[in-house]
Amino acid sequence: MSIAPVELERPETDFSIMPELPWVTLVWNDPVNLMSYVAYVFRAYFGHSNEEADRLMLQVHNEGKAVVSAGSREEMERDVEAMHGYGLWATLQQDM
Amino acid sequence: MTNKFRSHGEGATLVLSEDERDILIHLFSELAFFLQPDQPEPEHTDPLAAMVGIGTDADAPEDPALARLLPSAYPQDREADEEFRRLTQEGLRQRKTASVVVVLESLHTESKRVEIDAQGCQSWLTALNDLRLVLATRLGITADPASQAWTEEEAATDQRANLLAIYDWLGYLQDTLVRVLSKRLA
Repeated sequence: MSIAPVELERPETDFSIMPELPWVTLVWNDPVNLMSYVAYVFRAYFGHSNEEADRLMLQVHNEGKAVVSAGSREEMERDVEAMHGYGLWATLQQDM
Repeated sequence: MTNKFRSHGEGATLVLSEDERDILIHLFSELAFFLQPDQPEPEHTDPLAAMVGIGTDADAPEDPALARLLPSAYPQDREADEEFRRLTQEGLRQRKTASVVVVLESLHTESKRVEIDAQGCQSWLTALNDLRLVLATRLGITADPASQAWTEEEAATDQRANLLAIYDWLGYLQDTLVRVLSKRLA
């Protein structure tokens, strides 16, 4: 459950559409997973285009981590569990 | 070692020498054993929980290689991490083990040509990755490139060199499988 304070200074945000957005799934770089494999996982699981999957993969590789999905806590736990199934190093946290 | 996965119908084939197949059977058998919980799970009081793979195991693995296969979802939040492990860890173990079993079944063939169906390809893909994660931890391969470099003297005397060669070969094999499967995503 999100306990993030409602951001009153941003009234344009439609919370009926995005009720619990402040959670994100992070994938972290490691020296073992092949770049081709990481990009494949992003395409196969998230349905990303080749270009978007490569962009995210390179962000993980070059910057050490990348946000690969955002949504409710339950959704992010599902994504993290799936990433662990693929052997990727994934965590979730509230996006601050 | 120049063999690779080749597309075959909806699945793939892999031609292996007897030695290569023996190496794979040996390593995957160890991986299957490694994935077993240390102690048998206590009797489930909730048959539904048992069926969907919810265990009572909430502890992070102590072995660094196993910790890499079953990583922390909440590294900053011990309580949330334990709850997440309690809900998912047993199921994750079971799915990883099931993939290794599929791989081992496909390797037990009289033919040099291993035939793998579409679902088997997914099992091979993740099991190869898990095997490489374990070997890398044992080899001490870290983000530091120097961890993968050995002097020639070390390579000649250190049996790790053999393991490193196998690790590289597994990476090559996995990459050829990724290429086969990537073409099907478009």
